[in-house]
Amino acid sequence: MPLKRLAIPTASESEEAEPLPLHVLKRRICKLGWTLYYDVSPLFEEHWTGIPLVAARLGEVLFDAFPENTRFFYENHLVSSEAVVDAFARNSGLFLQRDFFKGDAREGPMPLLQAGSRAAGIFPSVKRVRRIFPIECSLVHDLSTLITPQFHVFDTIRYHMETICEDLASNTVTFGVSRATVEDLKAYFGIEEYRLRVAYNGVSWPWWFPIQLANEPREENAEPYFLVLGTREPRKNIACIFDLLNLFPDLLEDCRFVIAGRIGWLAEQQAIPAALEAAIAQKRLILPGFVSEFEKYRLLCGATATIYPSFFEGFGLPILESLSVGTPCIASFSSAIPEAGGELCTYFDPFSVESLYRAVRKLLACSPKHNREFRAGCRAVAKRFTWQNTARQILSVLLAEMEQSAGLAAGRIAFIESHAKPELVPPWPAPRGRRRANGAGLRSE
Amino acid sequence: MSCSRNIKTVGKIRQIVRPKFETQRQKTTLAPAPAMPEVVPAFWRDVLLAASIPTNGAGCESAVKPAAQYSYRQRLFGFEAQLSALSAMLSGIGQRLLFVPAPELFAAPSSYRPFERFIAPERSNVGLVHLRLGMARHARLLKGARNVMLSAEAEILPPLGPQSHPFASGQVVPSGFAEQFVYYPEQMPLRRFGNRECARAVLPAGAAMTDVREALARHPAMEPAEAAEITPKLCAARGLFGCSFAEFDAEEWRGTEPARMTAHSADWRRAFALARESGAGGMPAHPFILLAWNLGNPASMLPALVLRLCRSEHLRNSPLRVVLFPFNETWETAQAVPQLVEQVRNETLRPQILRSIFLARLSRPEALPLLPALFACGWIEGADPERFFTLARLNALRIPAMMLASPEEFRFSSTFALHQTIPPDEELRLRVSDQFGERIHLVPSLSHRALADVLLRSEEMLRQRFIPARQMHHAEMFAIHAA
Repeated sequence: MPLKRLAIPTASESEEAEPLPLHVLKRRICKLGWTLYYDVSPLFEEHWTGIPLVAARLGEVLFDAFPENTRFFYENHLVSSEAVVDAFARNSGLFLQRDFFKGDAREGPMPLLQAGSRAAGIFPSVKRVRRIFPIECSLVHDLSTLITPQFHVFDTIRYHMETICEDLASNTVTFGVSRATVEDLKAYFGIEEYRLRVAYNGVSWPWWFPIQLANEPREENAEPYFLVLGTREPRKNIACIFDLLNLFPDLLEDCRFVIAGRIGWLAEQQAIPAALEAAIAQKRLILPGFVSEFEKYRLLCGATATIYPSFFEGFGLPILESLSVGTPCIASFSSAIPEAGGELCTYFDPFSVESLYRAVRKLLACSPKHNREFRAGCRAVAKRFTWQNTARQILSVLLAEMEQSAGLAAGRIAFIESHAKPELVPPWPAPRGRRRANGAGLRSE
Repeated sequence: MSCSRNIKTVGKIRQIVRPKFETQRQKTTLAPAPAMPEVVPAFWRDVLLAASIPTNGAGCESAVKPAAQYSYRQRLFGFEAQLSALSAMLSGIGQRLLFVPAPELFAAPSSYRPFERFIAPERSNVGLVHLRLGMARHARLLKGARNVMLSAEAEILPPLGPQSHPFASGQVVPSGFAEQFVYYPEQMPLRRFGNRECARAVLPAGAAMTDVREALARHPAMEPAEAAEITPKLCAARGLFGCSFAEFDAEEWRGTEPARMTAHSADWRRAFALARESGAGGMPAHPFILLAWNLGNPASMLPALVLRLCRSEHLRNSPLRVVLFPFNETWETAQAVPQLVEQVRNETLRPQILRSIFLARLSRPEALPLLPALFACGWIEGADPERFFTLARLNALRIPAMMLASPEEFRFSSTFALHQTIPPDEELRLRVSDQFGERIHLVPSLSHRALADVLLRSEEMLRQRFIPARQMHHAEMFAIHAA
């Protein structure tokens, strides 16, 4: 429903052309002879959630599409592709990090790249090194450390803020994971529109998840539950859920609440109120902590709905995950979340527990989970937001830059040829000996 | 016969005494206040005006609400005072001000829907103007709105060495700001990110103290002579709370209206009771000194000054009671007050001194008229970026101000009534570690000797300002006998 009375200039959705299919991109990039260098520094985390997860999925798609033309690197070192692929399979960077620092996963130093080298660097997060590749791009997941520093610890803020200006300046193009993030980059740093692009995150589940889930014994008349996914940190606003259950304990009589995710930073701000301890003891409120990918998938599929009350998001991956399995989502209307959720989500004010209560009650009374239109919408979302599409969005832009670079190089050669040739032939008569050495001169003689 | 003669004589004496009293008062107060500002920028009219301040939104129950419903932690100085003054100024011209605790929330078109309920049904196509108050380094944008920075900051002491955070200097605002509005021309011009110019305009005269004037118009300011009528109970009823360092409780301080804090503080009550015993020790009523502490200034010397004050014998021997009013409290500085109290408690040799130094908070405008009668003078940190704004508020409240350790290079205009300026005689080396990085500031400060001098001057100001009834009576009797 568009706004009718408030004159808000909507973000200039630069209607970009549909990105080329991956196989076309592959053919054209290979034809130009470019190599893609992919920074694996975010993959050194043990548990992949958030940025490491995005980095892993994108890296995986790139390597699948361009196995010969993709190299992995960390700072100034090449990283063994086998070790990275192994980490993709394990869904954890624990061994990758160990092997890299032991030296087993290192493949020597980065090649010395000159200005004319055909190498493009893709940095899925903060750049640990910069100005190495002729074309560089990085992904900005959000500006939360700048805009909402109250939700972060000082070290994280400093890590992201110390180099952000350098990162942005050294990028040929910067990708934001949503239009809201791109608008933030424009509004806070004044970056020109042409140097910014949107590369939406994607969602994908291993093909065997649905089969494995279908083969598991099902609980008859399982009680409905609401699922809250996310690391327990203040930005995720889990306190809002605690307030909801504290103020409206009747909800716990009608359904259960599961809050899954590892305990993050500033956890004391997310402390569970004493009043909810009884609910935890009676298993009306369940906090399983960090869950595996399959466990997450199972929880998502079985939930009546998911709740995502975050204060600020660069994209909102858990919303996509929820919709991709056909589970409705109640989300705050904050920042980029409506971009991910579109018309399929029920939105509420993250400051207002009452508005969340109304949304939960509405969904309990009439869940769209089995509604045909809703399920079709979910399928469309799952089809639109894929990691292949993310890679296509990035590579299409890079291809244009590569072609421009090739065109410039060709143009430069043509320019040199067209302008430099007359200078090579001196206008005055050449010395006799030299004329003789010159075939043309000999012919003229 | 003798009776009438006596009356005439008394009348004459009053003529002698009063002008002296008036002279002292005039010296410390502003010229007649200008009328309520009638001019607001043209583009503020016929739009939705939404203000935001550097809070984390804790305690807010809605993403958009009328500014009148904002519950102030304190409203004497800083960005909350800016909000209070702005709200009063706009309500004076019939314009409504909204409050958004988190302007970053609004991005997708559908997220602006909460604003729609504040638009009159007959109107459409209403623009949105976002007024950002507070420190420039905490500036945030509301996308889709025209963003305006209302800055109360003047020059900021730069740290030694470079700063890595893009907005650490406090002189740069995000690129999306259209204009900067300042309260006084002396204030620092800001630049937009990328070293771009930021259009600058001065707010209407008196914009910094509209709420103070409104409060004084509603409840006339209490005169020093009426000071004895002020009790802690009256203060608490009007929204002025205090407690001594000895009785400080961090939990109570965290609350919005720490009524329990005042109720528990026997020292606060004792200070008032002793003050009512005016004349004792030759000192008049309420020997309180107001000390404005800007928590938003990372290079503040005040914690060091307070520690020094508590460790020295000067305060112990002085009848003065120093009352700290912390302001510009953000998520980052919320721990600054408990930390200072803890440090003072640990490092003070004589615990008795902790009963002479207080922390206070003024959260409702009804308490503003009490301040002129309670405080002999106000101390402002000379290198505080918001010194002009703080000074203007003290001027409006008719509290004489003393600027401590003001660096020579910091400009000052005659717009303000400033009783005394104490030049710095020492330099502190402060190590700061916050979200903007680790840095070192060289901050002008006051030595023990200068601090003792400040206390003596403040005592003198107290004597001049509060002529106690007993002294007046003695002067009259002396004049009668002389006649």
